[in-house]
Amino acid sequence: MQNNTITNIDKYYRRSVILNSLESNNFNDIVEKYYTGLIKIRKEKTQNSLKTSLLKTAQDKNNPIFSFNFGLSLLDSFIKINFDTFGISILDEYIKT
Amino acid sequence: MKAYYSYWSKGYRNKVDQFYLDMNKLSAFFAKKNYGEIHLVTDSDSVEHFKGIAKWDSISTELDNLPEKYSHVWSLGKLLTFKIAAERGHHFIHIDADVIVWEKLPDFIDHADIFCQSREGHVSEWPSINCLYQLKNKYNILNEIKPYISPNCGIIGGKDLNFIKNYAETSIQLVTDPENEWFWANNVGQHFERAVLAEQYYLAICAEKFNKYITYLLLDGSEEECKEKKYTHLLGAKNDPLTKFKIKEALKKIEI
Repeated sequence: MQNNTITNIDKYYRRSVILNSLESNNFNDIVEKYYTGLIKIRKEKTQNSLKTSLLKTAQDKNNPIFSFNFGLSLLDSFIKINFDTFGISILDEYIKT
Repeated sequence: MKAYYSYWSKGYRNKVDQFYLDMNKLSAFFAKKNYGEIHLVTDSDSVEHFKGIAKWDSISTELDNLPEKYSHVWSLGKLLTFKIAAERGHHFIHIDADVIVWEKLPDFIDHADIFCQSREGHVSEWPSINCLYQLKNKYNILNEIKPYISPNCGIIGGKDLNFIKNYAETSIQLVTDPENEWFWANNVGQHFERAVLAEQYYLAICAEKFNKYITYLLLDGSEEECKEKKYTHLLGAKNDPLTKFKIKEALKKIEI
């Protein structure tokens, strides 16, 4: 499961600035990198998701661009469920105070 | 506003574990502090685990009524809880166990007819959306496929109890209708897709159908915004072993 997760994240984010420089295949390194990069991409992703959701929901499954977007979308959902967080730093601050 | 929690042991988490109880304990502590009343809707298999973790104002085991066959659609437990809260006439906020509302949420949430945590666009791209539209349209589903924004339901609630009851009730019917079994029963083992469709995407469908406006707590969901609104949703951090440690540490503080 962990290896699959790493492969999926790697595949998805290799093209992005977040993991471009990440050489380690260590699960914790990748997760850490994702967490630290999350704040930066949050706004962009929110805006993009609003844009893509306004695209016509294509039904042509033979369209390679459409299929590619579907793949990314599912992977994005997977990552969101498994790695996304909201306000985790408040918990950190609460523990420290 | 009264706070609600739910736990359906037939859902994907199955038997409740200590980490879940710890999260729920921390979350319920702050909900009690900020909203005064906290209510739990669960089932007979789990109720004993939850009794001691918070000063519940009521505990119900009505989730016993949900069909195990659709356990992968774990949001059924939440949906039935929304319906129960609405039928009780409670202006309510349902809080997921992995959500911590550190302080009372802003006034605009109190005043909202329907509110949720934040928008999620990615759901509208799922292939299964096309199947959803083949289901019988007696469940508020419009004929036209629309790319809805799916509301994240880390928190959900509001004052429009008629709408919330209708949405929750029809969503449960949509899933459990034998005529729709081909869609809902064939995805066992997949932990979030069908559950998110029934809870979140269907909410967007209902809101469109009845021309209802959903208010969102978070606009961009950034860490800064969460800090400002004193809101935490652990979501994926649940998989991080460090989070278990952090929750334990936080619990030490409230127990002092």
